[in-house]
Amino acid sequence: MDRVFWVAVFLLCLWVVIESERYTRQEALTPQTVGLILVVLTGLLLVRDGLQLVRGLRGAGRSQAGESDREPRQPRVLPWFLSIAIWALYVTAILWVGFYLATLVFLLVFPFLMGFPRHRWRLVLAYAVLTVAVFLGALYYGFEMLLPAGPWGL
Amino acid sequence: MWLEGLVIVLDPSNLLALGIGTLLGIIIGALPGLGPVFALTLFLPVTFPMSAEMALIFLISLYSGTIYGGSISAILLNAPGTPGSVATCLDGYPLARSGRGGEALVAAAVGSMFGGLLGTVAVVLIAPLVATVALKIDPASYSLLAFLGLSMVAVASHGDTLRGLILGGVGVLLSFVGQDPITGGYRFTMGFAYLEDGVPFPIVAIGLFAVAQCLVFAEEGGKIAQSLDASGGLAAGVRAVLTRWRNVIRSSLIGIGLGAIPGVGISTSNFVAYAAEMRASRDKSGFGKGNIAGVIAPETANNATLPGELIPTLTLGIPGGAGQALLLVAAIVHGVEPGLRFFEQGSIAYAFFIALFLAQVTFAVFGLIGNQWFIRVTLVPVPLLAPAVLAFALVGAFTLRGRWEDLVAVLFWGIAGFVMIRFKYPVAPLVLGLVLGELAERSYRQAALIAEATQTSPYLQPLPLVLSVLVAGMVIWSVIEFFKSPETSEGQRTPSG
Repeated sequence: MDRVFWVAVFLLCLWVVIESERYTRQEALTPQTVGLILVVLTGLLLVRDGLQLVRGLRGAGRSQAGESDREPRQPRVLPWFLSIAIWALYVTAILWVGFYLATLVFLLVFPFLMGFPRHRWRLVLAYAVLTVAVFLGALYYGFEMLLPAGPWGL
Repeated sequence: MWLEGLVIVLDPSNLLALGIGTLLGIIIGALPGLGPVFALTLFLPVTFPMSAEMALIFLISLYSGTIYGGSISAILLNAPGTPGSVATCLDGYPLARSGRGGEALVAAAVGSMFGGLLGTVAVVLIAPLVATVALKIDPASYSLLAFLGLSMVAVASHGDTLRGLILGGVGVLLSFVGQDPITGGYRFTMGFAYLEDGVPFPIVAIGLFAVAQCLVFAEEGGKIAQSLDASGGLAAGVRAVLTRWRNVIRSSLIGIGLGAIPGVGISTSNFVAYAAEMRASRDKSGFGKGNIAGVIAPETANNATLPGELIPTLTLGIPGGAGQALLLVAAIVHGVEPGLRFFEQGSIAYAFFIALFLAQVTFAVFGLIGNQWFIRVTLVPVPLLAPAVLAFALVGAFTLRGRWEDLVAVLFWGIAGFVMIRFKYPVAPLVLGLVLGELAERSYRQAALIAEATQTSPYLQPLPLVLSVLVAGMVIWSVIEFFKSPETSEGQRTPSG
């Protein structure tokens, strides 16, 4: 994954250098210079990484790459891709049904997806009441001037 | 005049405005993404029915409180409340995780207070002089100041120099997106109208810190800290600031100096103060892992920057940023004319600075009293914290410019920040590059145009020469640090995956 990240950075810098050709000399001067320096630096990093990989393969029979950096896997409450998917859904809902309603549903649902203990019913009730109160308060004070409201004015 | 100003501020209704303004400022500042611009925009219309004195006292207290409030979420949630608290996250959050959040909060409150007080005294004593000097700073010196800030990327990389330099460079590349500062042509927009305004720094900061941290919260569950320092760290926090008085004075001077230069401001000063403290510290390895000095430096600097920014705003009528512009609007609306004769407008000018002075003490008192409650946030289960922080981050992102694309952008930067946290890439250099890239390019190209027109190098003037020596010194020091860093001395850092 580390290598994928740096290859992506390398390609991005290379793209900046190539894209700069489309602009006037004055406009392209600084981006192209910085882009070229970064291409060299990222290239050096990748070459160094490659050499290390070869050395590792020759030495221990198998690459040590990644072993030292990788932390022991811990049990994950909610995998990152699932969080991103839910959050993307939340942002989409904001744009479709408005900020308040989307946020209310999100605040009431997401904690339980993260494993919030449902048996602590007093805490759950207090949280739900507080969330709904904040929601109604925000609606009452008309913050729709600041936030996008949906088709139902929510 | 000072006595008359004091009488105005000590009027019960004005004192109440000062207290309410400071408290509201702390609350708004502590919410990730909602900074001083949001607070001033929200409350500026509220001040219209007030008297000029009360309005200015309320707004300057609100402004000061917001800047301090930014440290609370930066320390407890790794989500900077304001752009001036980004560097505070680097050591503040590790301290909160280790149960020393109380100490960090107290140190931030006391450091902010000293920074603000020293800044206010400096404004009162040397405002006209500093304003005149600040205006004489030419594009060459501006570009060197930006390069000086950029040369601190190595310091902000915490031993991962090569990766830090590359990510700092990527930040600079991102700053090129949008309108060319000289020709006005659009660059690297890939056909998206959204990118024509450039990559907005506050959106990137909210994504890289607040949203990325929420992703970490969602994955790990539990609580931020497993236990708390029972004393709340009051004595330890105060002692930490008092024993680091050199740090406080240095950071205050950095804050005042950078604040006085229009266009540099709070986003830069906190990083520069952090890097300067790290440079001066004997124990550099502790930075980024929970060094209290890494909290004091940026927090002192950002509160000293506000009075520094007031120097060109009030004495010359040149606002350094959006917040200052709103303050200027408020002053003009209430019949106070900014300019070199600002102090000749009667007791209101003196009342304004006394209120600024008292606001620093007020937020510190609120901070010290509230510390015991703020710190409990770290014991709240993260399934409750993560969605709330995310919702506030999105509110903050949207209210900045009212553009729905920012909601998507903040999510994108959140994912990028999450990847960087997971693979331990330094985030600070990227942010520093983005903040300073635009200033560096614009001023460098202006200097180049001047050189072309006058056939003389603007870099051969006394101030640019001094700054050039400083930049060269920082670069040489960074190279030495690079060869001394673990990644080069112990062979190579092994990549993962």
